[in-house]
Amino acid sequence: MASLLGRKVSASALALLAATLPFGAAWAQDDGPKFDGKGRQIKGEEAPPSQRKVVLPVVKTYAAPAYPPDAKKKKIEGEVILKLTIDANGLVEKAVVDQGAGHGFDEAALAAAPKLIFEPARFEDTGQPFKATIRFKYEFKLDAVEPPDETPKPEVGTYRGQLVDASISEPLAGIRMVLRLPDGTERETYTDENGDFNFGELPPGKYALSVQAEGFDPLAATEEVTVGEELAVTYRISPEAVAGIIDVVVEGERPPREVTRRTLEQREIARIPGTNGDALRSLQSLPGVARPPAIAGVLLVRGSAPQDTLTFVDGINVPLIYHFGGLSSVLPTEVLEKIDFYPGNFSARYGRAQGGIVDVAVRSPKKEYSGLAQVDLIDARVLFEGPIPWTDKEWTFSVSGRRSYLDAWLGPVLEAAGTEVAQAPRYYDYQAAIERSWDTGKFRASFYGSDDRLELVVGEPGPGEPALAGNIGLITIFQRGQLGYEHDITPDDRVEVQLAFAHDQLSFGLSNLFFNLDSYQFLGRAEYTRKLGALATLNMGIDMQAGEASVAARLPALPRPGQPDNGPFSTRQLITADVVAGVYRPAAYVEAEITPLSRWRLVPGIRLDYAKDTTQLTASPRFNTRFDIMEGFPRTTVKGGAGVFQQPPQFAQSVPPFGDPNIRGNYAVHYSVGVEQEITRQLEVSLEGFYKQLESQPISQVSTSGASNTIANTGLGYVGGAELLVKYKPDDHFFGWIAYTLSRSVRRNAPDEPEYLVSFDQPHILTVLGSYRFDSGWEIGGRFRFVSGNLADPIVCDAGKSDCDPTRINALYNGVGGYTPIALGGLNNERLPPFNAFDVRVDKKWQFELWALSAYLDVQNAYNNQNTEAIAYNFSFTGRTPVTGIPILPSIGLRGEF
Amino acid sequence: MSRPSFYAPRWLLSVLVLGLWLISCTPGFDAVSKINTLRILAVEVDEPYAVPGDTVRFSLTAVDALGDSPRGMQVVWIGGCFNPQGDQYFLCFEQLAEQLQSVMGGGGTPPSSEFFKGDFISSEQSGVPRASTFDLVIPDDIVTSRPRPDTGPYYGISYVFFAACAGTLRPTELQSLGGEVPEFPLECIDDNGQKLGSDSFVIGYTQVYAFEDGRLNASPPIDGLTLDGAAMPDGQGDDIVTVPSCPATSEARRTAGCGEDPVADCTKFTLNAIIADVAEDDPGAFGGDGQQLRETIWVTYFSDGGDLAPAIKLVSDATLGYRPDFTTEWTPPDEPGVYSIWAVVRDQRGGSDIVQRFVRVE
Repeated sequence: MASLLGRKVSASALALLAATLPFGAAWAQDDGPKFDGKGRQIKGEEAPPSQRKVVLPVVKTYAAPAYPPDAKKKKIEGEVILKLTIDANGLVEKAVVDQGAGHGFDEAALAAAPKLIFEPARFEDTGQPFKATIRFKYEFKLDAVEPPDETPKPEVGTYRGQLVDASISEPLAGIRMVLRLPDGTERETYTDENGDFNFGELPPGKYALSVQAEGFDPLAATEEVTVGEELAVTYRISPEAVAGIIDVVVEGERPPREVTRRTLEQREIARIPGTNGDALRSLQSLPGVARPPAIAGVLLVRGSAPQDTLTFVDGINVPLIYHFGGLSSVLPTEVLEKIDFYPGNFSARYGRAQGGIVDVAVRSPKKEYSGLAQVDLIDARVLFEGPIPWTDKEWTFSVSGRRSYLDAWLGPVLEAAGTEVAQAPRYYDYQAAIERSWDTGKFRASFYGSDDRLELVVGEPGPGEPALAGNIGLITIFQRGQLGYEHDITPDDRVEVQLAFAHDQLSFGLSNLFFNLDSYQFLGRAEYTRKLGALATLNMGIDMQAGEASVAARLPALPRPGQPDNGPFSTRQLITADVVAGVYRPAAYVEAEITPLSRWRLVPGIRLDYAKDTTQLTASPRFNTRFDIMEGFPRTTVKGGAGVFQQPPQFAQSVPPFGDPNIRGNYAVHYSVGVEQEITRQLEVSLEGFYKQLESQPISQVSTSGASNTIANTGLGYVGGAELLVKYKPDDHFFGWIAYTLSRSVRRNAPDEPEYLVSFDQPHILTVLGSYRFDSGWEIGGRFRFVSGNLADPIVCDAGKSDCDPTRINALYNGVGGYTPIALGGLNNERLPPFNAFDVRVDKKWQFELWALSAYLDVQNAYNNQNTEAIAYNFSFTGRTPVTGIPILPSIGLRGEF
Repeated sequence: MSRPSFYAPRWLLSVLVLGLWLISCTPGFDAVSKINTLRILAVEVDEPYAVPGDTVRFSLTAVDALGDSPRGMQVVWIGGCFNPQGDQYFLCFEQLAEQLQSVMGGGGTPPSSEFFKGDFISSEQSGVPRASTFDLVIPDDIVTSRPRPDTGPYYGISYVFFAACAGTLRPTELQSLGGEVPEFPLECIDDNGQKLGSDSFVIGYTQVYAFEDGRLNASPPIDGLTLDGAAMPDGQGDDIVTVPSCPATSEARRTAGCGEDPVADCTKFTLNAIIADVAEDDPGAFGGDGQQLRETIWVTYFSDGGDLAPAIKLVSDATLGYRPDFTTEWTPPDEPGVYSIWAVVRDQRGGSDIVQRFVRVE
């Protein structure tokens, strides 16, 4: 094939400022400390002991060299690496050839270099510019010019975008971007001084992009180029020192690219006051998430009950998200890659939940040996990871574990208070994984679990309960042995499989009463993704839950005929049960991603669920869409969705003797609509309205004879509200956001019964938080929360209120010696005082050559507000007193990592 | 009655466990065993499981300890509510309101009738067991007047309501504050016409069952009390037990927090109710292994002076049977005087018995 040769220096021989990093580095001149490409000081014999990070020079004005005529004539290409001395004003003070190419390339490069203008190197902590020497590469390439082609050209699209340093939200220049085309060939380009890149015209198809920038985490993305459309994306990569990004996606669908995500970077998650740096606890600061009761580790999402929101680890369901009392989550932050949080309108990939979804992705082990150890007042944890020896870094591993200290200090405290303690509260969790990854996929085998235990010895029976003396115990255990496989079979085909063997155990004991649930299940999901031309992608999957659950229990029954129902709970006849029940709940789904325009995405889907325990087959159609009114910056996006979300009954609701075998599943219909608006590069605002219609909710009913209990799907209700998030994304010094949720969560037990607010209804939830990092390495942050008070069923009126009648008879004495309360109004009709608290966090990090040490002080409820969590009554319901929540609670921690 | 159904989740259990501990450390309320207001201690029924057509006697023990000396108490009994829908006691209130208006609406001392009785407990009878009684004839058709249930025994239920007031009782309009249970249509006023509260006015109810199969239930008897192993004599004669006082005030004991014990240095006494192993089989109640279950029996202790811990003890377990150690510990009050100690034994089928003993504190 004949070809013509053309000169190409302006496009392909790009300035490679950041590309100097592969060659070693930028360093300060002899009159200052030297730094490596990651900003770490290079310690020499004379180097000062201080450790200061630097910001590398950035090209402001690029100067292209002339292509040497002789070389062009002889069709010679070459690379020249210069060593440039850049003064504090960003001007090239000196240029010498570090690695020449001959043929006139060296001279051309030296001639062009003085015309380059840089943003000078700066110390990160002070911003002070300094003289620095960097390596700089000029690349001379000749384009192959095809002869005129008389055949019709294929229709094409374009692919361009910007690459940004996620840690400082600044563009990255000179980074090599490699694109693998559908035919298997590769094309590369480099980002310019604005971080922009452009692959130009491309045939329609699926393209795999990879970026390997020294000092940064690698980036891999698969993008779709569509005929006649311009694909414009922004990628954010993080310096390795920042140890990855945690993404918290608060959208209703699974967005394919970063531009559609709101992200919480690890710096944010680790530094949110009041969370002890726990990633999953940070979810409680997001819009749509209500404040849980003081010591209850639950997630209350958009007015739904705790059991309506499911938690997954790499797509596999786990029974709990937080350890005992909500002190920390069951997976430490350090092993997480990202958290996908769907408060509603989630993908057909997920089911069996009518509330929300939290899907936690565990990150891949690093290919270099590293580790950490952390201790604080609550727990201690360790992590070690790296390549498996003799596998040429193809296989990596990680092991980590955590154990609480609570039993060391809370046990003595409880005993000092007069409570005999058999097992003070303690928890531990553990994670181990091996992984092999390759260009088009990865395989992971992991084992992880959690174990919480508490046991108190109650020497005397409680008031009014003669048979409740003895031990109170609670044990919660889960384990998962999990295999994961992801593979891009072709550019158009992808499979993802997750299989797990799951063991869950819940044991609760109170005197001679107990409830033990033990289940062994096979959990699995597989998804096949197929590209259907330029406009659509099809996702098809199965989601399996099968196994066996056994329940052994001895619990009080409802009073039998002849037994007054107002007697002591503990003297009722006991039901003893030993039940083994099969669990078989398969599901299948199909979901399309349709992009009629580059700015418009439609995601219709349907999910079919079967539950053997209810013999019920349900269908859940869903639809989500997003439309970018304004592409690029400042982006404006509108979004919306509607769908059906089916939830099977809880095991204890459907299996006799505690449950009713006639119960059916319940479901919700979600609607949401919202808008996202970028204000500045750092500031983004989003507003979303949502409405959930709840149907067929299970309601316990006493039979007309009063002698038996049934559960019927007569309940219904709704949750409506709006969420506002004003977020300042992290920059050099500050991050923060304001999250406000307005909502109302209503139920009724039957269509003809009155409405009432559910107990966890919180109309107003305001969270304001921010953290400022000083140049000295200190960081201080605060979080203020103002939340509507909890709801209560009052029996005794509040004497401080004008309408309180202190002479009201609040309870009737009953013939078996107790008091039967008379509710003061309907269900949940008293709103307790609003909750407000301010949390403070102070961090300090010391960076050494081989390791880093950090310390923090995290103070919850810093001004010790006595927030009312509930109302307590005396035995005869003649008096009431507020039960207050967690007082000021400081925690300190130390962490070392290498 | 219906309520949202939910599987008792882990978070709720966590809250329960820690909540029990937190509340146990919270100073505030008087114990159930401390008698320092008007209280009803027991309402006994001579036939907790009655035979249709029988006359059943209800006996009430009430005590007033609000002031330095007891007040007299006006008592009313109201019967005649049989088999309300769902066996819900509060569905009798409408009928009660009409009865009370017709009988007491005109003021003055209400006359007694088949389903109504006005009574008075004098200050001298305060605390005396069974100071007021009421007889009710169980209708012959108490069982057959309601539909036969699909499962379980065929039975009827009779509710009886009562009130004790350290003032004057007067009926009110039936009203609801929005809850499922309306306000009880009766109030208690003082000589100035001001409403008295729950420290001077107690309303209650009890029930009697009748079964088609004629099953009966005998109340478990209590034969007396022992103090440190010695039988406490009946009455306030010269032979009543005398013990030293404990200097810690009632207020100091009530407000003691976790880890504090203001009565650590005081002499404490072991109280024991004399109750034999009388638990009967509970017809139709079987354990998981087919074992015939017995009725559960427990005892509750009260005193108008000092502290009792625990206030309630199990006497007989449904599966384990008789539990011989149902003693409690009594710490005398700081003020000298003669005080009452009561023990009430109950079974979970409506049977009960009460005993009163006295102790002198110096």
